[in-house]
Amino acid sequence: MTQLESALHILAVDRFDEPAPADLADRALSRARQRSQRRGALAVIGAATVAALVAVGVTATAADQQRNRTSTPAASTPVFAQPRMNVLLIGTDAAPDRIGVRPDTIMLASINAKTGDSTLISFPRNLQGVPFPAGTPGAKAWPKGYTCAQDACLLNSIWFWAENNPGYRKYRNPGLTATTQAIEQISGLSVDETVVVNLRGLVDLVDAVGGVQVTVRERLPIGGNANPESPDYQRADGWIEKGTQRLNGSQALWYARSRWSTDDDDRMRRQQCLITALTDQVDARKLVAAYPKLAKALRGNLLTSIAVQDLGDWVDLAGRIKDAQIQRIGLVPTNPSHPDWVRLRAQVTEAVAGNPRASAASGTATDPGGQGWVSEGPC
Amino acid sequence: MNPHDEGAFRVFVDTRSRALLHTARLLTGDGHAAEDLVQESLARLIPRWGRVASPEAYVRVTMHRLQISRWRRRAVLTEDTTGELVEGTRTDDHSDAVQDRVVLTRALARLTARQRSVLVCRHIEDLDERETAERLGIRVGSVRSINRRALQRLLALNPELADFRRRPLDTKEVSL
Repeated sequence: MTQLESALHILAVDRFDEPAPADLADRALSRARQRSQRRGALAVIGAATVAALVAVGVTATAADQQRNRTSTPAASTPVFAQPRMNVLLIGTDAAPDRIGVRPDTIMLASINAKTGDSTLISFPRNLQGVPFPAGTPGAKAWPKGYTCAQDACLLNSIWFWAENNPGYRKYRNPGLTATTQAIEQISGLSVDETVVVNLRGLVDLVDAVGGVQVTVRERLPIGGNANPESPDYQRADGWIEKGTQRLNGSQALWYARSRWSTDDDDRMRRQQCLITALTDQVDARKLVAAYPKLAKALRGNLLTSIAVQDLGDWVDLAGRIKDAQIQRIGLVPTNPSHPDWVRLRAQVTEAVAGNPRASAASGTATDPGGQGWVSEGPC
Repeated sequence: MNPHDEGAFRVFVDTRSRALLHTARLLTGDGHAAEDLVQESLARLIPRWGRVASPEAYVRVTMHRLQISRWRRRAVLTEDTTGELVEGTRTDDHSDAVQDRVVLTRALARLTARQRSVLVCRHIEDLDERETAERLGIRVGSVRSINRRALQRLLALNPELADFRRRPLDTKEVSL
């Protein structure tokens, strides 16, 4: 045995080997760049929450520049299949991969892939009779739209319904699939990517960027409950006072969530304001610095369909969105229990096409027909 | 990586890649896998260039670690299939060290990746049992038993290795 052991020593000599390939250093360098880009890409995934799909893209770009000034710049021509990319942004009250998610926030960002001009469309969570595209399990189960007694079948309960429906069992995320299908049918737009973030993810994100400045137009309660039967009925744990101020993560959460002192529509407006504010204010360098912590915190609190290999393009696009116009639209049917779907859909099409009425982001340019959209009020 | 560092890195690769590849071949038992292993390990060195005391040590540890995660993933497999069959039996007509190396290399390739890792640490890189255990992240007792079983298996696969006699090599690089 010891003989054998000593025999092995002759293998320690490398000089009978073929020489190493000449391009080994180049290959290692290019592999290292790939790895660092992938890390940047993971940064985007990690932080591409509802709010900062945009800001984080910029982060990754900044991180990449900081890491490697000699690296080749990302391709400047976007490779998106469509001239517009539609991203469904969902804010939920649970971990995105858990059963029983209730999406409080449902928005569709329709982004001009070339210019970055975007339309942010909010969908009221209390829409009733929501239609599904033909041929889906949803359409099969609800041929006349998602409706049931006592106003229990709202847009934001589709998620939970689908989790328990055999038709959706084959999908990896039944709730998200069904909700996406419903939004596609309502809006007439196809959803290209989805981002789901829960409350925890939002708080972490805002804290990671050092807070966000907003103008609070009405004193808003923290905590409490709108249900008269709840022991917490209208009992606030605290208040966010009126005025322009910097909110931390948990305050920002309540700014976007608080409802019982105002209403659903005002909440939709605030949610859009929060996203717009984050997009405008996020300091990419802060996000870079916060990234290691953030990535850890967001794991399990965020779910996105955006593929790693596409992230370079999204980073580029995010850079363009930051400099472009964001138009905020809330769909506000006069009668949420019987919305005029044909009309709603037409309004979405019009708004996305860059309707001049819609681009006036100030004031409340209500749809003259009384049913459709309003351009959201000032933030 | 700035141009200065990149230059230094290239010099390092030019001078050391042959030795690194050699170890990688023994570890993987396969030429292509060896190149991949070295390339990946070098890539992981790059972001730390200038901050590690010894680039070579860093790359070698990385190679072992990557190889370990490979054999951990493949733990269900009892044996790698990369090794070629050992051709013929050795008689006393072989006199050159090259042929010895060929026989040993092929024999090594027929072991499991875990066994190869231990043998390379212990007998090629001359680490002691404790150092080997540290590098591979296993217990000293495991190093000992894996080493013993690996040698037994080498013998079982190639009985002629039992009377392997170290012939004088025309080299000073081999020290016993």
